Amino acid sequence: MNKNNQEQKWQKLMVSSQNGDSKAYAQLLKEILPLIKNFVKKRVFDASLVDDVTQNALLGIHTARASYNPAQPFTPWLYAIVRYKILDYIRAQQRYSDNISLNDDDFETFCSSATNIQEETDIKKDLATAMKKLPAKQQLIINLIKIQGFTASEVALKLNMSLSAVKVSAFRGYKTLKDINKGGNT
Amino acid sequence: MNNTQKLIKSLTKDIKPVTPTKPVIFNVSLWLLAVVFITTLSFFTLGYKQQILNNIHTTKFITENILILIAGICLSIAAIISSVPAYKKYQTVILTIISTTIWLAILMENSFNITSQSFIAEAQKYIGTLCTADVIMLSIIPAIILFMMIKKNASTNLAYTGFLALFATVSLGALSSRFLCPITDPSHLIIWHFAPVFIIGLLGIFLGRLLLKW
Repeated sequence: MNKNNQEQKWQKLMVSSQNGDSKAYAQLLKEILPLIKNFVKKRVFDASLVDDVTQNALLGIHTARASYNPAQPFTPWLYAIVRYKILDYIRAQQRYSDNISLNDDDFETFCSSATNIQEETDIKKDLATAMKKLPAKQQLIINLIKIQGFTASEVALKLNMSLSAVKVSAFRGYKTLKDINKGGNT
Repeated sequence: MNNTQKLIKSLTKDIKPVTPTKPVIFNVSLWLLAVVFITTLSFFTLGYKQQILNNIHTTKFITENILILIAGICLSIAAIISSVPAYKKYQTVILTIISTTIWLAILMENSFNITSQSFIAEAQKYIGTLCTADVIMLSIIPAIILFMMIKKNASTNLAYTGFLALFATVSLGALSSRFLCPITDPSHLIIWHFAPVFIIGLLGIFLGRLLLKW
């Protein structure tokens, strides 16, 4: 199949997806998956992140599917979203490595201050220990929201949960972390 | 089945139909109608000054405001175009250049008629802040509407789209404020009506990053 035919096919599948055809949508996502993965691989050098970024891009396509104009070609629209989601993911990772702040009252580290290095290391250790005490699902949700930078609705889609369930689970997780931290400090 | 395939399965299960983004011209017209409605309503609320009728007849007033209207419309079109993934960059760049040139020309034309003393004297008249407050008040609701319209489109250039959207709204806010203010002194116009357009427009960069994230 040449590029033009493929482009037209994807355009049709996308229009059907916008009309609520789940089969067309599944077929489209499966067909564009290798394309997204290759695009991500060329831009994200850490191989362990490729799957996460690809999933993030798929969520982006899902969220922005109404923004596709059927009169326009599909591939540039797809690449624009994937490029945006790659940058978004990298920025979120950067933010996490620069400054960890789960709860402003309890955890506050500033990477630029040399005097905070010991304190920062301690907090990271405490946080990692506290995270291990949470149920696996809560750990995963907090990791996705706070570390990988997904929104609650994206996590809900990713884990096949309702939005409110994700929010409740995250809230309980934060509360448990706060309690663990308080217990540790007293 | 790996995580990506699981994700595809969960995304495609029970997919709901969505309404594709409306054409740019439709969105711009809809927004401009909302702006006209809100501005008319604000004129009744804030009070229409009789003196302004005299100003409307001057060529300078009419020309300046037509140009500001053109700049505002160009900026709103650029904001809506840039809010869609894979938008044509040259279109938004051309529209931004046209609008900025119009604004700079208006600023320069007014600055030719002022002296540094009159400028400093005007800057000390704090009554002028009321005009800036009018510009802001007349821009708030149109800005909220435009940001809501843009947010639906999933912008991939948040800062630029935010800047264009706020610049467009405040431009039209400045235009409307001219009908509420009887002062035609160029120093007053530059300090209290036009300068806030640029300052608030730049705030759009931060607002865009904050509010348009998806």
